[in-house]
Amino acid sequence: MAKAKRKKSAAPEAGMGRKGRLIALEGTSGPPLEEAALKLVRSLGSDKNPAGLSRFDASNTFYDLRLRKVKTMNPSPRELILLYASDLAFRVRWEITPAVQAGMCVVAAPYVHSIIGFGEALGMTRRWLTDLFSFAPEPEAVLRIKEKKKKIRKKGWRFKAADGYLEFCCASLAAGSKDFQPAEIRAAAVAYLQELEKEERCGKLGKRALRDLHAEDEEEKKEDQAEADSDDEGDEEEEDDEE
Amino acid sequence: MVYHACLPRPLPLMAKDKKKDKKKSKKKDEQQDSGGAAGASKAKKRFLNLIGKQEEKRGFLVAFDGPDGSGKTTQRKLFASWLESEGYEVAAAKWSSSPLVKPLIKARKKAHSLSPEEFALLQAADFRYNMDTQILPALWDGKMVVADQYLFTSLARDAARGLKLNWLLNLYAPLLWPDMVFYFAVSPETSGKRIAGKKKGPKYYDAGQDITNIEDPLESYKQFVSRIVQEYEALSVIFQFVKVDAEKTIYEQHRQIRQAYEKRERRPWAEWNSEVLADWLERREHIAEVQESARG
Repeated sequence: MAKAKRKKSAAPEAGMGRKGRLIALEGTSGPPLEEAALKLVRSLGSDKNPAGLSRFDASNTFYDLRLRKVKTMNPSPRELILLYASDLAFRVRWEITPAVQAGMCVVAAPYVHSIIGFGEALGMTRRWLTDLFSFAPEPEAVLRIKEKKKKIRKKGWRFKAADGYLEFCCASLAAGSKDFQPAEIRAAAVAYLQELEKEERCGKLGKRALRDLHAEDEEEKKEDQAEADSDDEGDEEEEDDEE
Repeated sequence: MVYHACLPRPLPLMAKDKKKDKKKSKKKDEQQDSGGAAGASKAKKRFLNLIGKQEEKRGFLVAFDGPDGSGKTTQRKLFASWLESEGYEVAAAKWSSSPLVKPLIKARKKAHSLSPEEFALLQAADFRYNMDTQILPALWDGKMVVADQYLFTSLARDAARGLKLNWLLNLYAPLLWPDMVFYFAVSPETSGKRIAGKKKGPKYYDAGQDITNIEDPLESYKQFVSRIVQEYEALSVIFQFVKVDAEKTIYEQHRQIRQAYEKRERRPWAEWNSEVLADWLERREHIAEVQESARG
């Protein structure tokens, strides 16, 4: 899980009273990522503190491109990454930031790291990719779904362009290159996520990660409660002085 | 704050032979991960050779840039027809015109839904697509490419919208450096007057209403263009633009452009643009292969 320090999110709106959280969930295949993200949202949310999901293509950029048969236009990997970044800018502006500011927990799936891994596998430098996504707010935690690069290499990868971002890109890029191997590219992206995990910049989604996220939540609740109590005491003392 | 889920788990105890197996498979993975780096560097060398050989045959890239109302389109047309009259084959490259991204930008501009970051990213994608499909093929074939606005348009406008220049430059990396950039320097007042004189006033984003929050497009434009001019002035120093005084008459400007062009110097591709060209050559080869096999 990311060691990224939680940024003090902007003041929560009146009545919400809680700090928002942003959890990045990374994965290289759309359907399992979506499934895991929904489970995570259900697990983290409650009636009082709802959680939400920020998905890929909230801006409909890629839907629009699919309608216009983008495959025939042969976009380059760099163009596809720039388009993803524009979609993420849309998500940050319209989904993530407002929800976090309102005190919600937001699961962003995918967020930045799956795309950095994918971009790197396609020949872009990590530096370029990291700088490109520097506009995205740092998440409180980064988790990845369980994926094994060996398995992907062994079994290959069957997908539909509509399944997710990597699927969309691989379908477009395969149309422009005979030698393009989607399974290899995906495996390399998984390898990047594994590397992050080794460096302790990312955690694997599982019971342990969930337990830790809930523990963090509880801790924060207690802190908030303690802060609120001390504020009340302060107010009472002030009132006594005035009297 | 430390999140325990990120801590590495202790490795389970393993028998010696199991350890060996794991090491072997790890080596295999590493080899696969490197994805034939030797092959890639060979290809790069081949592309660098190609780029070197093409240097003499390649075309020349001239960019015309400046704020709205600086007269760059008029000068670009005059310059292109003069080049044609001199016997050159000329290709025009227009800003924000790619079939891939233009419809997306157009729809969002209409809905006034673009944030500065999103706008900058979409324009960078649009520019790159145009560069890959129009500018580079034309240059490779030896044509003169005259670009009506180049990436500096985005750099100036987006920096005027408050984005950092370093981040913006990174969007366009690796850069395709033009051989020559003509910058049409105009005062914000003149630019505002010229825009006000047009039948249609400036549009929402051209007027910078997304950041000025001024309802009157012309008033907003006047404020926005002064920021743009400032950014252009800074860029003109960094990128060594050829400055054209856009307050002068059309004839005088054209004469200055011709004179500057006649003293032109190429920016050697191998020195300035090898990265972007190697990238493009590799993709071009792949696409040609696919097209050939489809025909076959």
